[in-house]
Amino acid sequence: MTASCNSSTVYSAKDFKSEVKPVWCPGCGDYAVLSSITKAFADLGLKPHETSVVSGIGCSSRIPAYTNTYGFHSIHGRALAVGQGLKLARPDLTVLVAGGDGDGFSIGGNHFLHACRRNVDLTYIVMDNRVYGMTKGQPSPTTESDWDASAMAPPGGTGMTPFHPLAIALAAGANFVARGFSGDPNGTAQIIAEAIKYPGFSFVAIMSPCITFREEQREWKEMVRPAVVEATTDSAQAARRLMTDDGFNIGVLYRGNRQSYGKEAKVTSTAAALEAEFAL
Amino acid sequence: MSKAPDFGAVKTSAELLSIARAMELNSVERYRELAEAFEISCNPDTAEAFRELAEDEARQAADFPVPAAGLAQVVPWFEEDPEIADPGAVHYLMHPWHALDLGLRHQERSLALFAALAEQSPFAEVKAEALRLVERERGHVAEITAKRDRLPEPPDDWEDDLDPPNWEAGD
Repeated sequence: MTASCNSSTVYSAKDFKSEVKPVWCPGCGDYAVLSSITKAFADLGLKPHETSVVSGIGCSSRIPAYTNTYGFHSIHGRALAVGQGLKLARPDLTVLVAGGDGDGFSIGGNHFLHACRRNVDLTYIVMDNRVYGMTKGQPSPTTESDWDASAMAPPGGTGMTPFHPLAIALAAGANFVARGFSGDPNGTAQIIAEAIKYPGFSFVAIMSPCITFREEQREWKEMVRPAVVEATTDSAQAARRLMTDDGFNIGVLYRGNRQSYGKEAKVTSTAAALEAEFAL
Repeated sequence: MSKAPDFGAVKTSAELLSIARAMELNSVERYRELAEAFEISCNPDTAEAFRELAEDEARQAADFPVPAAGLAQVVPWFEEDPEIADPGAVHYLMHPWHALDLGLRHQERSLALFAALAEQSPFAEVKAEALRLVERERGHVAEITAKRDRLPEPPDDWEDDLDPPNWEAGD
């Protein structure tokens, strides 16, 4: 964080961007996601010193450097572990965890499942481009089974069924499930703002094209559409929708009503109570 | 993803000017971002073209009065301003000509927006202001077309990378 913060200042989206210039490829969808995140922070009236962005490893995981908040560029696949720890230690902070599909669903797959179950009050954003871009084009868990356009992919593709992050998040207990698209930055900002406000573990999968290794993803702009149904609070209905969904419906798809983990105990904890908890 | 236009949604000329100014300022930001991205991608000529576009947009934004608080800053029926760059429309090997061509397309979209408002707004003052903006945008379109046409057109194989990031087996 570089700017000084105080409680009466109103911060704009620009204030939430740092002076560090992104090293993403020109045209990468992650630029727009960064703009959506900073816009959501500003729209919610958040303050940089009350906000934290935590990431893992990968192109999209560079995002804490580009935001003017507290940040932690953590370990591959472990962003959620760090983010949950931070939120439990500092429940007053708005914690946003961000990363990519490889980081979140492969290396961090186990953390993802249990973070959904644990339901700590934070927002997890995955910029999903269905490829490991930083390491030059290997298939990720969300890559189509027959994709072999990269020399880094096996001929004929991996033959493995792509991971379905939203259905898995729902099944594992996430309290808020949504899908955004980087080509719709204002709509994505609204979704992120809603996810941050919503109690519990909010999961937002954002389709963010990798224009270098997955050039065909430029076509996503023509394929996405707003979800035609309202978000449901019924997990069974949400599951049916997600399993019949073609992956291009964007919007909030599920709002649950589970109690956030640790909320009732932490918010009222005093320093003395915390000390007592750790006393030998 | 844009909604159907509701030409009655812009009700006053002050609101229209506020939106037009915000469009210019958003373009400044996006072109600067692209200039930085191209600098980092070792394409300094295209970076410079985007930087010049940002400077042009900043000058254009300065023509507008600072709007009163609370006035709309986005076109009510667009998900995004018509004048800001679609990130999917750029390529790391693009030439300065492409940058200006992209800028030209954005100016043309703005021109089309103001022309539609001038024709279809139900409010006389919005129609009149939109007509003035149409004239202004025509000037910008002519200016950027001339700038683009002074540049050499890229060769047909401009996208070919002899050391591509996504090499194919056998390369």
